[in-house]
Amino acid sequence: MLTYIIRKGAMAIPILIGIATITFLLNFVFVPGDPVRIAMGTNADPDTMETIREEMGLNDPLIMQYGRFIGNAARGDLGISYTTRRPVMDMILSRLPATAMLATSAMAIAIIMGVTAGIVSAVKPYSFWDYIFMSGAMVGVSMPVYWLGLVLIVIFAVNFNLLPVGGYGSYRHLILPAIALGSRQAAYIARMTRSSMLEIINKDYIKTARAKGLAEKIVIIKHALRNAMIPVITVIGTQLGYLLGGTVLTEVTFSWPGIGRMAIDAVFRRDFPLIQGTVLFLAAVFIIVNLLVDLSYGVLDPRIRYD
Amino acid sequence: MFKKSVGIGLLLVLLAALVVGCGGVEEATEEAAEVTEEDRYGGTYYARLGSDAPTLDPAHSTDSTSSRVIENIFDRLVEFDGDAEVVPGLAEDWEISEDGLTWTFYLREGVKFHNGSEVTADDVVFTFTRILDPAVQSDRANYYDRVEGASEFRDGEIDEVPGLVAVDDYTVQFQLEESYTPLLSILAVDSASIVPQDAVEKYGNDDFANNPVGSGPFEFVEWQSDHQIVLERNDDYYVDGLPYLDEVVFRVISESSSAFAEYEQGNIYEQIDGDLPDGQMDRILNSGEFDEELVVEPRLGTYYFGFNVQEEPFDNLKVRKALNYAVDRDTIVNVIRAGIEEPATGILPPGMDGYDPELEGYYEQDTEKAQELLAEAGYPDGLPGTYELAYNTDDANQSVAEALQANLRTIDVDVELVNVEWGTYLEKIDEGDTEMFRLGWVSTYPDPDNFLYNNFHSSNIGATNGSWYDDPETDEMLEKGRGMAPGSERAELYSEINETLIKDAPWMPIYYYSNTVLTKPFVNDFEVTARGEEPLTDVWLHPNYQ
Repeated sequence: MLTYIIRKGAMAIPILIGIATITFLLNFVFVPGDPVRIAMGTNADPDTMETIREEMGLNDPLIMQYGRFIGNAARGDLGISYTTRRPVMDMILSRLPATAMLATSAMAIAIIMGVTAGIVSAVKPYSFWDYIFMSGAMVGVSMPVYWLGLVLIVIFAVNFNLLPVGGYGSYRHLILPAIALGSRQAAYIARMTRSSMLEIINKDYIKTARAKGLAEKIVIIKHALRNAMIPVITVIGTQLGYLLGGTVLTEVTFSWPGIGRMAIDAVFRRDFPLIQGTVLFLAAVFIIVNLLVDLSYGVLDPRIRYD
Repeated sequence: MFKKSVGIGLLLVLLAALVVGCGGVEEATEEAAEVTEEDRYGGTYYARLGSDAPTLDPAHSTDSTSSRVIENIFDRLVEFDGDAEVVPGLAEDWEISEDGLTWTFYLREGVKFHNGSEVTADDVVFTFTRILDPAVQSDRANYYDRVEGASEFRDGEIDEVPGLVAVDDYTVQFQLEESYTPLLSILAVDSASIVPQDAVEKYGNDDFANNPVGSGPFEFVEWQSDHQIVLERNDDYYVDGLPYLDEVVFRVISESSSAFAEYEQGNIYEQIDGDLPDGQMDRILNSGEFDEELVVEPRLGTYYFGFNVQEEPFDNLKVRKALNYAVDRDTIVNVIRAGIEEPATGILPPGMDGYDPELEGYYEQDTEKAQELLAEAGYPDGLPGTYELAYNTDDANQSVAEALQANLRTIDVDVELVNVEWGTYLEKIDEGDTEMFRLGWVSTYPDPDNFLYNNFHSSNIGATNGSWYDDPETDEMLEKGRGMAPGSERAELYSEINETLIKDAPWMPIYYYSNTVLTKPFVNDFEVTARGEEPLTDVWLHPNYQ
């Protein structure tokens, strides 16, 4: 397994360099807009802009800027934000707890809701509950998260005054954004669990288990669900990586101080070091989550080996 | 039965709480007059920021979000009063020599920064030297270009700025190379806030933004990025008895609908200009629900569509005038802007030196006259082809652009609306890649120089002069105005420049901005001026809400 992890880690290096290069080129070559001009606003002075560009190194040849960025990134230095003049790594790390808290809470809600709905639907396909859950899943997948967020705010914060409209700092602030975000993920997970379970539930070894006289609960949980989980875990892993990447709309709607909001502000301000640093960091997170998902397959199915 | 009774009971309690709550608001307003001076002290004020502040270092402040917080933490040599006039701040007095080259400021003695050190002339010299230091990369260094030796210092030829002199502990002198009247107003804006040398040296130039130390009414406590900035009362503030509030919390709420819901819930106490969601404007202005909370004040700014005067056919004065005559500004203001702004046909807004009310209505809508002018310009059947009318992404901008498009169609001028994201948009204008474009100008400091020099001096082509307006006579007048002593002669010159520009029509002005602000009824002495929202120094909360 260690060899597998090392091999995967080595494979991640060219991926990260590729991502860094693409982000750098997108920022400096393809995206219009000048960070210095945007920072100075409408009240910009041409000479001052030039001095600042020079000081920031924006007038250096592109290849020199690229070399500097890659060299520093390799040492874990993602640069200094053009806007805040703070180290990019510090800015990301300061928002990571909020994003991680929201992502894991939303995912917990999604797993509980999604897996339960998926199992019930699969065990009694085409029943009343199956139709209810799968219709709900369809609505969940189709519903824009910011719209659901605003509806939740109107109902629970404005009309009934049960929870805060937005903000950060206590579990009460977490409930609405986690539900808004988790509902969509729950819908994906429910659909995947149902189809995966339906496939497994008709296999011979399930019939054997039933023939042995095992209780239906044990058949479903121990024999069917465990084997049906591999594609579900893949979906969960991918979605968790996506959630850890920051969920811009949810964070904006609920004033949640996460990475997504910071990244979107960075794009509007053309804060290139912050954009590059965030993308690189999130790519690394995505790779790690995927590695963990790969490793979890072996736990679920001992036949899978990592040699 | 029991459950039903409990339910009804709870409902009654809830209703009673609501009634008491509503009564509280009314009482708060009625009783405001009876509150004693002592009762005003205390409480936390919850404000909203539409985005995280990019910086809390005055040297880098260029945006209204940063400025809002910075103005509460720091003081300046001079300040603006409610009429946007310059009044004493850290400097209790100042003198300007007759030739306008030597400016001497006399500091108050005994004013303390939040770290306990005294505000001295050395800190003032340090503050402005720091802004001019290229390594600091201050966006506002150009404001002090005329200080003696500033250019040489910025070019690295000398180590200190000879024009900034600490005469003694409480006297500081600015020596200028050329007279520069706007300097007094510039010294009152947030980027000119005085910072303590020892604190900047302790934290370093970059980290000072995260540990701002000023001498203002409120002291920095913490900044949780994208969440909130907390300030507390400066007990040693140099104005006796102020401020009233114990604490100020600026909550970062990006989404305006969420912010409005927070305001209605009473979780934030204000909705400042730009916060109000378009979808709520009708309710705010017309339902009567917010009458007690609403303040609408004129603002020193103009919303306009500019022509690129170097592009055909807009290099033709008659074409520019014709298009100006086609615009129905009253309808745009009343229908799209809900009547909260003033229709504009001029460039300088009311309240600014050089504004001439007699020129108002110069381009009253007159379709026939517009068509005649187009015919005289050689376009009797209207302009051939389609022209680009660009605006930056925003629903309100789009609505105004659509109305303008309809107006121009009445004189056979077809325009295509082009919606561009802000960063890209600025670059497009700077590069002159436009035909007609939307922008607004709100004065950073209330001096006509800020308005006209930036927008119409040829040296600003490629930056703030988006019309690419290049007229040597105007340049000359603008340069003259910068050096003239304040007074009626200077105001007359700016009036003349304003008139020239209106008649030369590089812009289609649409309206003069206003500040539309909501504050809760229990918030008192919240001051909204032509510059915007003033610091919270005088604000106090009704004792029931502290």
